[in-house]
Amino acid sequence: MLAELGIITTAVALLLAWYAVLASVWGAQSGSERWVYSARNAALLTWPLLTAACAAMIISQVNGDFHIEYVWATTERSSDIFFKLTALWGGQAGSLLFWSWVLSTFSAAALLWNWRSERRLMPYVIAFTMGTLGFFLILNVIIENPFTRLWQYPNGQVETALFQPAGAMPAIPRDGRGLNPLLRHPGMVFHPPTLYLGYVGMVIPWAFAMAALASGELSTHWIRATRRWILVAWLFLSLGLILGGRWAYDVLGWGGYWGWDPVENAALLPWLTGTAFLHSVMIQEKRGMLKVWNMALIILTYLLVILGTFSTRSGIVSSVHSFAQSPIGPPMFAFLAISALLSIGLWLYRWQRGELAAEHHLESWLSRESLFILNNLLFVAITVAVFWGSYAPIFTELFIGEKITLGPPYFNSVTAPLFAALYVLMGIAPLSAWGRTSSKRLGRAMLIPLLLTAALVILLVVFGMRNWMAILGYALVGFAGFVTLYEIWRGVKARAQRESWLMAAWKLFGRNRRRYGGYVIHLGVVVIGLGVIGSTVFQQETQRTLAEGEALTLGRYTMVYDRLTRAVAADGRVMTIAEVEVYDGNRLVATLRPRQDFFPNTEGMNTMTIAGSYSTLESDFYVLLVAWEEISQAGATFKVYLNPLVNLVWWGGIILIVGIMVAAWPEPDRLRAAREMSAAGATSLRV
Amino acid sequence: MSHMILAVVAVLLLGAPLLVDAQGGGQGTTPVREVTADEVNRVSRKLYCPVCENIPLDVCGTAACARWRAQVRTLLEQGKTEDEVINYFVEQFGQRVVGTPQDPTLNFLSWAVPLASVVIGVVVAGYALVRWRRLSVPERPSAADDAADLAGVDDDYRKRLERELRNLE
Repeated sequence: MLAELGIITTAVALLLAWYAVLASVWGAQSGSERWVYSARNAALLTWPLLTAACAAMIISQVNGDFHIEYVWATTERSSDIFFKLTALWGGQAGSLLFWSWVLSTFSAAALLWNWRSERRLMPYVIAFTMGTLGFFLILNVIIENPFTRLWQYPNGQVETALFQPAGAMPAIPRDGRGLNPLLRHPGMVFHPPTLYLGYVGMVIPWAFAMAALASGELSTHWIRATRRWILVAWLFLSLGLILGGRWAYDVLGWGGYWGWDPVENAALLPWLTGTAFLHSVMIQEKRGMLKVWNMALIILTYLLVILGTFSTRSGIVSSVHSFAQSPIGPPMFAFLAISALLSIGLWLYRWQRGELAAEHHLESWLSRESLFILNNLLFVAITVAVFWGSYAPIFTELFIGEKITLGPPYFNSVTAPLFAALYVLMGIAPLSAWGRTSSKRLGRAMLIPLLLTAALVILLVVFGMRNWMAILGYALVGFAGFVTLYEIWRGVKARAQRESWLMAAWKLFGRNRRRYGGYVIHLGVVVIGLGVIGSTVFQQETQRTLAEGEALTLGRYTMVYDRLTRAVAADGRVMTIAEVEVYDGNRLVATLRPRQDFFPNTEGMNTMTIAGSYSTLESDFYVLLVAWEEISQAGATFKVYLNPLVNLVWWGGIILIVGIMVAAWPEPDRLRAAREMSAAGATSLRV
Repeated sequence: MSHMILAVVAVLLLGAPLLVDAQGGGQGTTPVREVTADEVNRVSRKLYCPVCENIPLDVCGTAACARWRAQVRTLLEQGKTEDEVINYFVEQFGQRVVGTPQDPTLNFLSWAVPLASVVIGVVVAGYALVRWRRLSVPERPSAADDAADLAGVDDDYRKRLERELRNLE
């Protein structure tokens, strides 16, 4: 019954999505409000239908309805209820259904939120959001239907089909196979949905941009409409990246959080172009410049979202994520090509008609505009470098016949100087002015942050640091941080003359959330930068086989191996657990239990390495159980890492998320109206 | 005839280790030196298994990668240098087993594409900026609502910030 409900609701949602596309375009072209309203209603209806489909799937998972192939493949009776619920996105078909549901949610929210204010754009917003949803529902209904069921013929042969084949009876296995072991981790439970929210969220700004291109309404309306949407999408994409890093650190067992894996990179690419867009769009808002560029960036971001989804699900780029491979590759590639042709075609059409011409030109080489353009250039350069590093194996195999691998040495060498330059700009740009700024004024504003940076460098050298690349890195990151703190301090100080410091800070942030939220985001990026330098440049590792009672030393820590135990968990996993004691000097600071989990009933990736970690703000003492002596249990091999400052990566991530929330938090109507009036006044003054 | 067969078997048995050694992958040869796990990991980190793509050899958990690591150890024990070990694997399995290609053409290609893109980007952006600058009609300094406008002078800054916040109240 639930399977039938899911099949019907997804099929009807598919029909409604494509009806909405046709009706909205027809309505916009013919000027018929009736058709536009009909399209809107159809688009809105996709949400309850897909919600019902997701609910049907979740209930089936919780109840263990193993007649449904997807439920059988991703859950098992002994699974925790938490993992039964989250198995919705634990496999290809379910995660596509979830993708579609998230897109219908975002689309419905955008339609309801922006219907009145952006009335001219909305018919085309419906067309582009529903076009994307319609495509994903084609995948869901025809190629990867999560409600496909198992059927058995009298001769024992089992077949999968949506509807009962002639002569076959429902096949109901006693138990399911269970979720992929690597996904049974809180980080992995929340990492995919946050990434999907980020990915899908980027569809909304793209749809508004395309609506502007299609309708010819190329004023700042589409920018205004998408401001919050892009921030929300960027928030989730950032959160997804951070959670993915944490999952890799905890579960993949290699002592790091970012391996430049092609699938990680697939999520990073739209984040990079989205970040460039967040900066450059300010130039269009303030100065009416970069209209062509902003359109290009948002189109590129959308295409990278589709490319990322395509490449991770088609198996074209092999990686640890290859469990998501399926035959959806060709249609996804076709959709990517059609989206690119349509988006770029519309963009070129408006460009060559001169409708994207800038309202102002560059007044000075030294201005916030020129620094933001440089910032965009760097983000795009990093995007190109990461794109090439991720897809070079495909290109070289295709055109030269030799497959190559570009690993961390390539990525670190190419991106490190570009990121360093971005930190320099992060320090200078907030101190520069729109229009023009003098070098003398800029120099004066930079004086205190530069002095603080010099003090930081001296302190590092005095306390024994001799790695000059690391010192340079810390100096650049520190400079960006000091500028940000200095700017916040100056703002608070200026207001603190008539109220308390705390109240001054509260009001300052409250009344200009975008600017000060942006500063908090910068602080988060600075803290992440400190963590990345520390954990990359100064990471130490060693591998040793120890007998019980033996010790090894790494950095200032000594680890003593106590014993090895075996246990079987409720979900059937066999856990081999080593118990080790960690000493800081002579003081026992932690007892760790690094372990390996083996899932005997799972094919493929069936081993999970769970690290034992002693964390302080200064460093992580991170222990992996690599191997052990099966017979005597007398010896075990450990890989031990000392990761300095790695926790700053997570703390920086949290600060970054808080900053985005501050920047994206809706302003009271009166403040927004005053800001828009103020902006309009400033623009008319300049014109 | 039986003696001939035994002789052939003996030659094969004696020759086999030499054959394996000539290929650089000998398992049964006497170690020239002791090799630590850290040394094996240092070399393995630069290698990628062609089966489990994109996972460095030092952290890959598959049985195939464990065998490769054992082979790395054997080669190091035989006195091979790090470069020789890496070259051995490249010769056996192709360029895909290293994080950056050893082949000069492929190596050049892997670095040239991003560098060329950056250069083209800088040229295009530079051209666009110069063009915009020429098109620009001199305007008086911007009155845009940004505190950084008046950076450097605290009083000015305070006045500006106050004015801006007043506008928003």
